[in-house]
Amino acid sequence: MVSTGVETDYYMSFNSDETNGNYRYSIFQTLINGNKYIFNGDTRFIAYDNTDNSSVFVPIDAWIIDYARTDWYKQVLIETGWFQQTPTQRGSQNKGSLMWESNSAISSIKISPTSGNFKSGCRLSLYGVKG
Amino acid sequence: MPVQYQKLADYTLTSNVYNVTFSSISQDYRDLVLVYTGSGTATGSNEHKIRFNNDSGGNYGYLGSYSQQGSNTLTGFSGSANTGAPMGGQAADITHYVYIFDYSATNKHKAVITRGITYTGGYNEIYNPVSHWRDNSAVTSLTFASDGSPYGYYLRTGTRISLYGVSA
Repeated sequence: MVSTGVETDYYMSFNSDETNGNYRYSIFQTLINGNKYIFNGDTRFIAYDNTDNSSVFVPIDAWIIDYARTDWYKQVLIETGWFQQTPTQRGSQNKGSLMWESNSAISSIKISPTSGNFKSGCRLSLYGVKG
Repeated sequence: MPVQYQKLADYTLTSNVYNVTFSSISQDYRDLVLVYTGSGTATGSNEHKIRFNNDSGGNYGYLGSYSQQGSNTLTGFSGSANTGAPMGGQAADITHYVYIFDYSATNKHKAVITRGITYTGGYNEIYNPVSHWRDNSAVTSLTFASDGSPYGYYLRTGTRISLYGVSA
């Protein structure tokens, strides 16, 4: 679960490749006002955060499929969502995917906000699913 | 120690009950996962809910989307004062997979992502809310129940509810 306390997007990149043109994302978003959007583009986007309540953090569930293969592009399935009541009622649910157009096996992962810094209390964990 | 889902409890109902409570939950895990397969007697728009630490106050915010069988429409929904993290409807055989993040933390509200196939008003639905319990307390108990005050409808015989801890 992550938060910066300021409005931000979160990016994911692999093997120190931060060239946006090497990534494709597609996200379906539902906002608290009921509006629904579809976003897609050539960045490393995985999640959106507009929380400013010190107790509200954004959960991100990201599955990186077949990360060690060397014969196809890497796909990430993403689900995230948050709800804040105070000081301003806000919320967002995102479902989507990210693709890294590289056949390289993933050896490193970077998660970063586009604005601000991760605030104290954030917790990120990486798990391997045994083949 | 290899990461794993550790089964903490597993109930298959041998009679109709109003609710299932998991109490004295170990604080040794990173997250919790609840899996539900079963049916209930709730009707209309009544739904299943998860409550933490016996909190049945309007302290759960949620938003998400659902789509019904036979419809090409995706409908958004939200609420700020629910009396539990909503799981969706009720009567027929349904499945919920519920992920509860950082449940033992004492510095953040608790976030829940639910993936479910539910049944409401005669239609199957794909129902995917995200919920927040507006409380920084560590989750020590979890109750799965249908709508009502405090519980209005039964969970039927044969329903299976399992709780797992995701190792840190």
